Amino acid sequence: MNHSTGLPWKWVNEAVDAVIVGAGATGAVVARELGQAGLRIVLMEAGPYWEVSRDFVSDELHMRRTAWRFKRLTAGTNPPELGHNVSASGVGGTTLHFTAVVPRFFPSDFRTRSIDGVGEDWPIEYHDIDPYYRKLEEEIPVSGPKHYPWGAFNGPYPYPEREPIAANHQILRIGCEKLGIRSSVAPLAILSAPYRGRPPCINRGFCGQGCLPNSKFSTLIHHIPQALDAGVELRHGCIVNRILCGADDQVEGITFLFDGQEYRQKARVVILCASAIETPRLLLMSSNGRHPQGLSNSSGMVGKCFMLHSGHETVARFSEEVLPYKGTPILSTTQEFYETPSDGSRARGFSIHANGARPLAFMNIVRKATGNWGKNLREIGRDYNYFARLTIVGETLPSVNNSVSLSDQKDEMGLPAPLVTFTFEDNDHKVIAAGVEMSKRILEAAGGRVEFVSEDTSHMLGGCRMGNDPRHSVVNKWGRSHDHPNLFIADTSLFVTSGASNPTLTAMALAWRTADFIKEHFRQGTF
Amino acid sequence: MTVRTIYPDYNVMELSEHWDENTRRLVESRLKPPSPPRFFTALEFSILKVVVGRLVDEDNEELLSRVAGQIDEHLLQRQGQGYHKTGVLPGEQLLRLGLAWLDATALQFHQRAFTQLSPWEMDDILGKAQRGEVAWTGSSSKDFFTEILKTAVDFFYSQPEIWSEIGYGGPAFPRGYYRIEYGLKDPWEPRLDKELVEKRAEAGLGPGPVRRVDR
Repeated sequence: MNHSTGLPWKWVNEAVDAVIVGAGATGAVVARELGQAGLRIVLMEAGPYWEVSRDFVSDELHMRRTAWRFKRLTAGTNPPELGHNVSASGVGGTTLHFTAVVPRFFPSDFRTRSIDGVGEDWPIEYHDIDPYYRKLEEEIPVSGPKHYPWGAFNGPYPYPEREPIAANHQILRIGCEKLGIRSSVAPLAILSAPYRGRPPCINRGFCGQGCLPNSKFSTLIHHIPQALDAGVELRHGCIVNRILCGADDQVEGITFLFDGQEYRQKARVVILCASAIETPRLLLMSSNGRHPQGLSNSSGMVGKCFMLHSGHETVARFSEEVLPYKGTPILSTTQEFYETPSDGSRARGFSIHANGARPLAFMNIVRKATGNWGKNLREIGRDYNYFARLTIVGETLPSVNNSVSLSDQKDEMGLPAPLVTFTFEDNDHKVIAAGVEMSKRILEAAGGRVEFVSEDTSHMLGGCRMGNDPRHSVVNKWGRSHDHPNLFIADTSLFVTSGASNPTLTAMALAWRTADFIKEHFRQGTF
Repeated sequence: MTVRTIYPDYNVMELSEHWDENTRRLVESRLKPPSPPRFFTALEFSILKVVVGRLVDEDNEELLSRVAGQIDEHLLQRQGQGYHKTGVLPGEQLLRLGLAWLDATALQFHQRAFTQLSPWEMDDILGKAQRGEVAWTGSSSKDFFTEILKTAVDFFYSQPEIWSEIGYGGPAFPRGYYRIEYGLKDPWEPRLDKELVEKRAEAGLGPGPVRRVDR
């Protein structure tokens, strides 16, 4: 309780050094870094402050409540599944329910325009974030192989690879072996040995439901406690509804809603870590007379080039039990088809992960793939234990047609609900077709009979991309707004291209780099 | 005759003493009889129950009442995922509207309420709804069908007796799984009944002839 205001927060009537919007994968990293640098930091989170042992249960249906569940609208030819599929609410964000697969991006991901003639080049290169990858892998820490066959980092990872791997994942390994394709145990932010009081994984497969033993990394259990120890003020249940901007284009802080009331928090710097939907939405909602298109939007690019990975599922039946509920959901992978193939049949590529399934995940794939119901559906359910699944992470190219904008409907807080428009384009379809075809070949080579292929997507990216040219990008290579020098973006919305690796590690590395830049400017007294 | 399960000796609830308390309580709560519906009217609720029964091929009244009751509770507490396509109603409204239209369609085709139709008449109307062959105002029947099937699958396959039926090992915390590689099982995991697998194979179902059962 703040004794001068009667409100449950300190500093609410003062200007703090920085306010960070979103306490997920990236906001928690930025908060810890800036807090440990001695800055006065307020970390805003719309959702609850989850307590693992109190709030988490091992149940697919129940744990969907960790999703962002305010009203959102979808459109386009491939309107995406949002909710638990890609989003989260509450302290820890999507790290609460991600599969903790943490490969790095490849060097070529940052230069697709130069190398492949598609997408855009990033204003940074791989070596700019390489040191941050390394620091993160050490501290969260990543369990992975001694030798990793792809990309610029070939191991060894700090913690030993996960061993053994479960049957569903052996199937990928066997199929790849038969086809002469390299495969590997996936690099995972999941422990293979104890670390700071956290035990190694016991293979229950509930990564998507919040890990009860804390074997899986999340910012809720790792960065947030460190940030709080450093004096960061965490305000959960507070929904930021506007960024305040002065006549000099400097931002001055934010307003937020708590229990139906609006409050104001002034800050010298504002850092957005609210996701590829909520960050552009907040910029658009913060329009004013001077910035009718929204803040940081002189380019018109806020909300544009929103991307999702294609995440198509291929499921095959085997003649012996696979028991797909056992093991960490993703344990083995191949990134052999990550880049543009030499025959030029597509630009860029995909990863294929072996992906276990609990009953709801499996039955919903069957439902989507077949439309079966009644006896047909029930009989397939009776064979649940005989199925193995592979999932692609397919690159999609940035397109201005895929976007986050404000709809004319209101969400539960009375704020304009976001409209997410998404359509796979030509090259995206080529990547999907190649990824599904290769998934089928691997499953068949391992002795399976492919029965279901279902369309899916994962990972929201882009919408506030970084770039050197203020006419075509929202922020610069440090995540700093081209239009407002004390406004930063440090989440996946600044991705220029999608890559074909799970993006969390890259997002956290970029966020840490931006935090370092902000720290240095505070040290020099330029804010 | 239908083989209900190839794991006849397996009951996932017998493992529940090995689960953490929160998970155990949640799963046990799914076995309690439902309260009277509060989101749906009694009529809507009775249609929901039979529709779910057709969609998942189940006629156990007690089980269907629980599933429908849990759907009602979920909608009442607004526990949905919040997003929907433009031009499609939010889930709660879509379900309510579609159930009413099923009844109206039954009256139109058969001059009887939906719940009084024979199973094949119900399936005929549901199939038409799935294919968009009935003209409803306020929503396309296809959108409703997608929503009700998704909902039925989510809640039906969250029931412990269905976990037992399909041989799902369950939450397993804090115990965990240790024998996870191909062909291995922890001692408490479901065991196949070889004869039942072969019986299904005779009906053209399941994995086919048994090559190996439980090492």
